[in-house]
Amino acid sequence: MSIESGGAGSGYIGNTLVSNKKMVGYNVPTSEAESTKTESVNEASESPVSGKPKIGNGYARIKFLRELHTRQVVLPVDNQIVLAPSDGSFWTISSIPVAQKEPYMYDDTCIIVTGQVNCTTLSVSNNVYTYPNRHSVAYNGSRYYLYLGGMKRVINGKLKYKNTGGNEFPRLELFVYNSQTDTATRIFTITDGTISTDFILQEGSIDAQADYIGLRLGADGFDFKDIEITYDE
Amino acid sequence: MATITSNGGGATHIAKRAGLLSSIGASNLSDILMVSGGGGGGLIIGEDTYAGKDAGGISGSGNNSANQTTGYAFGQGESADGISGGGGGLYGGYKGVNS
Repeated sequence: MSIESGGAGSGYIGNTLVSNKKMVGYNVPTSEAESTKTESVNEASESPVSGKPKIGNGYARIKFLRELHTRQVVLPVDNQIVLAPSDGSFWTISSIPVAQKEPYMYDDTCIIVTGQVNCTTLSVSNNVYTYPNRHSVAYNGSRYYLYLGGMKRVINGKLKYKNTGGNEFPRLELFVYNSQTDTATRIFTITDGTISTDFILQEGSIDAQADYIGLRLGADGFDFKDIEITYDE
Repeated sequence: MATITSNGGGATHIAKRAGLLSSIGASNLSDILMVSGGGGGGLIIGEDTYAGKDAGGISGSGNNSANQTTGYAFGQGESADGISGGGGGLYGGYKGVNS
C-alpha cells in the first residue's frame, strides 16, 4: 500500500524588472535560475522573518522592488553626457565635442542630465532636448546648475529659460563618472520640477517674462564641493 | 480504522488586481507579483500520521506537488476526497494518494 499526503502549491515571484530575488521554501526543490531562484531550508519560524518559511497562516511582504539609490551604470567613454529617462534606460549624447570640455576636465567628470531643455544643436527623440550648460563638466568649487522642463532663451545676451510645458521625463539624475572604475555613480535624483521664483528675470517683453520653470538647486545653485561623492570599491 | 483527512493550506499572494489567484488566472500572470504556496493537507490513518507536503519555491516537495507551470489548477489545490487535499499556490498541489 502506498500512501501520500496532499501535495503543496508552488510559490512565485513575478516582475521581470526584479532580478535580485529568491524564494525560500521548507525542504523544497532548489533552483539557481534567476527567474525561479529557490533556496531550501530546514528551519521554519512562527513569526515572519527573512529567510525562513512561516509556520501557520500565510504572510506576504514586498521588501524590495527596485534599487533606486545605489545603481551603477557603466559608460564606455569619459565625459559623456547622459540622459536618464524614467524607464531606467540611458541615452548617450555623443555630439558634444570633447575638446570643448577639456579646460574643465578632471579625472572624475560630472555628468549632467536635463529634461526638456531646449538648446541650439542637441536633441534626442520624443521632443526631449538637452543642453549641457557651461557647468556641465564640474570641478571642485564650480557652481552647478540644473534645470528641468525649461527652454533656453538668450535675450539681450543673457541666458534665460522659458516654460515649455510639462516634463516628458520627470526624473532628473546626476551622475559622476569614475574613469578608473569605469562606473558612474548616481549623486541624486529629482523626480519633479518646481517653479524657481528666484530665477524670474523681467526684461519688459513677452519672451523675457515667460515663466521660468524647472528646478534650481539652491538660490545660487550649489557648490559641487559640498556634495559627498563615494564610489563603490 | 479511523481516517482523518484535511485540505491543504491556502496560498498567500500579492497582485495588482483584486481577487483569488484562481480568478485572476494564468492569463493575467503579469499582474501577480508574488505567491507563497500553501502546504499540502495532512492525513491520519489509524495510528499513522502523514504530514502534508512542504510548500514554497519553484515547486513544493513531493511528487504530487505543483510547480510554477503545472499543478492541479492555477491558484487552487485539489480538494480532499477520502484523502488529504493539495495546498494552494501559483499552481495548486494534487490531493494525496492511497493505493
